[in-house]
Amino acid sequence: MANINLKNREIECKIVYYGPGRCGKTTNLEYVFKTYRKQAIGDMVSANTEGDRTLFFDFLPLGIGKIKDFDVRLQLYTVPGQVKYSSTRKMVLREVDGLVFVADSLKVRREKNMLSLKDLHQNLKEYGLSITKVPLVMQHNKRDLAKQGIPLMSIQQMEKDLNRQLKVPSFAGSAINGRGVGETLKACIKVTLKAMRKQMGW
Amino acid sequence: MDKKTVLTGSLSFLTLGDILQLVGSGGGTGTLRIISKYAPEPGLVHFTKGNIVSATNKLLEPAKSVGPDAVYSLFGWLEGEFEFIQEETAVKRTITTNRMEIILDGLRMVDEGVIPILGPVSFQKKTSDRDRGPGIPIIKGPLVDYMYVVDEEEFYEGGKIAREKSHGGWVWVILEGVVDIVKETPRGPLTLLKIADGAFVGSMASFLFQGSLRSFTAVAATNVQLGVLDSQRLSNEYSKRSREFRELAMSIDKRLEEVNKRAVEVYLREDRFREFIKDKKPFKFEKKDSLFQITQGEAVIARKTKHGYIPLANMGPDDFIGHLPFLEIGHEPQAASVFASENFDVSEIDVGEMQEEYIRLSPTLKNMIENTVTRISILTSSAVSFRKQHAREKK
Repeated sequence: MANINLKNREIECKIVYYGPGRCGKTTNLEYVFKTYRKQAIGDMVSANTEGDRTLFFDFLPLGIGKIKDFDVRLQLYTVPGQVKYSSTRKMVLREVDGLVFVADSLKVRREKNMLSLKDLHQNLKEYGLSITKVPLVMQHNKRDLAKQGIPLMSIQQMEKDLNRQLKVPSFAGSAINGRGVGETLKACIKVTLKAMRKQMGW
Repeated sequence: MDKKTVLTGSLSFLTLGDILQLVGSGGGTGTLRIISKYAPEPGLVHFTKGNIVSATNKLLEPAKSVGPDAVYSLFGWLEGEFEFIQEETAVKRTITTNRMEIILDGLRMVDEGVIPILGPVSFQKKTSDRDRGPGIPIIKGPLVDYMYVVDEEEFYEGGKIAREKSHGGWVWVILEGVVDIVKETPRGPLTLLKIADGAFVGSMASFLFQGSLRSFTAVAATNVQLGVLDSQRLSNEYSKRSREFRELAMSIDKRLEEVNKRAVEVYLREDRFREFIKDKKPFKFEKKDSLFQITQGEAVIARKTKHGYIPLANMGPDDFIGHLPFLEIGHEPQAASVFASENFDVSEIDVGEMQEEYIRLSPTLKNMIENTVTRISILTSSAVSFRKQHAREKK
């Protein structure tokens, strides 16, 4: 559940990017930070976890307006995928409000995607959350690599693999050049705020 | 402001990361005390308006007991109590790092085992890195070309990827992590090389000849992610090259093998130089920057050091010696001498043509050859430093 900060009159809302190693979570976040620089509060924080960097920054989205006179402050995180980073992952996933699952379109990563999604399911369960209820959107990343002749999975196949039961909003993306990044985040904010509204009875 | 305790609790419920966030987002000014039964004095974290300004952990050596190292070390205190006392603090600012960065980095260090967990067993030492000794450079390769990766495999730290003298035709490229290349010796396993992202596990011979024996054991030094290379495709590509070029590639592979063996011998203090150069004479290159293929006879490549010659490789017919302008092996003619047998003969090879073919290779094969060459030069310097070390020990 979101953290309500009475002092600053802000609602802190935690959005976490999840996905297999090197699928582009970091690239997504870096792009958001770069593009919406003015709306970011403070610096981007990064911890060099093996394989992936774990990123964090605070973000005040414009255009959402206030909710009951409170500003909405987003906290964006990526999560380190490797097994050993359990305390980091625990801290990041604690009281998460919304999730973006970034899937890797490379053919060779098919299994990695499914394992990571399963992993997310397990992790959420530990905090009493259900993957079917938590606000979640999906991004099929790295679509641009098709041009370089690297074998990718088709969107249909990825949807079948990952989204058949969840049926969450999904987007094709190419985080490296920003395609789909804004869309994904916007959709995630939307479902997150909707869920929060319901939860708090606004 | 009055001095008062405004928040207390147990670390088993709220972790340090949570508390730092809580105090931080509340904009608190004061001192957070962490009390552990394993530490004689509490750990302190000072806040000004929600920002962490200083920290103290008396368990650390004096130079580190105040400042960033102190706050990171407190993440290892998993058991105990905490209390936050609201007060005006007059401590000297020793920390300017962003709060969230401290939290993420602190947790990362705990997960990576850099920060010890405070508890009754905190004397537990990491032995794994001790006996390996420093000074083994880590060889990395260039970016991996995914066109050749057909599958991915993962190994946990300590897992054996390939075993010496076992059969195996797989060649892997390291996507992530560090792998130790180990040779079994009578004095126990010896880590000869450390290889990481972009480097290859398996030699060119392993995909060319079915059932070739592994010449090393590969052990995952960290958690490792490997890409399985398309051997079929690689050997197809290889077979399309000219005969000379294929022989050159094999000869480079063989040289690595040889240097490998020699390095182990030097490590075991076996000096076989005399045995190797029996009936051989120093060989002079007529042209300094030419490449030759041995047509008959044998040759020994050796490097002269302050502590005598170190044999590096025994070469025979079809092997190449001389100068390869596009690959820096670091052997003859500049950095090593050649001793040749009576009947020794060579024919000159067109270097330009070889270079042409090398340039036309796919990135993966090119990287493999380059990687082999890097290993040769690193093993050569390992052999030299083993010898140096032994000479020093004798004194």
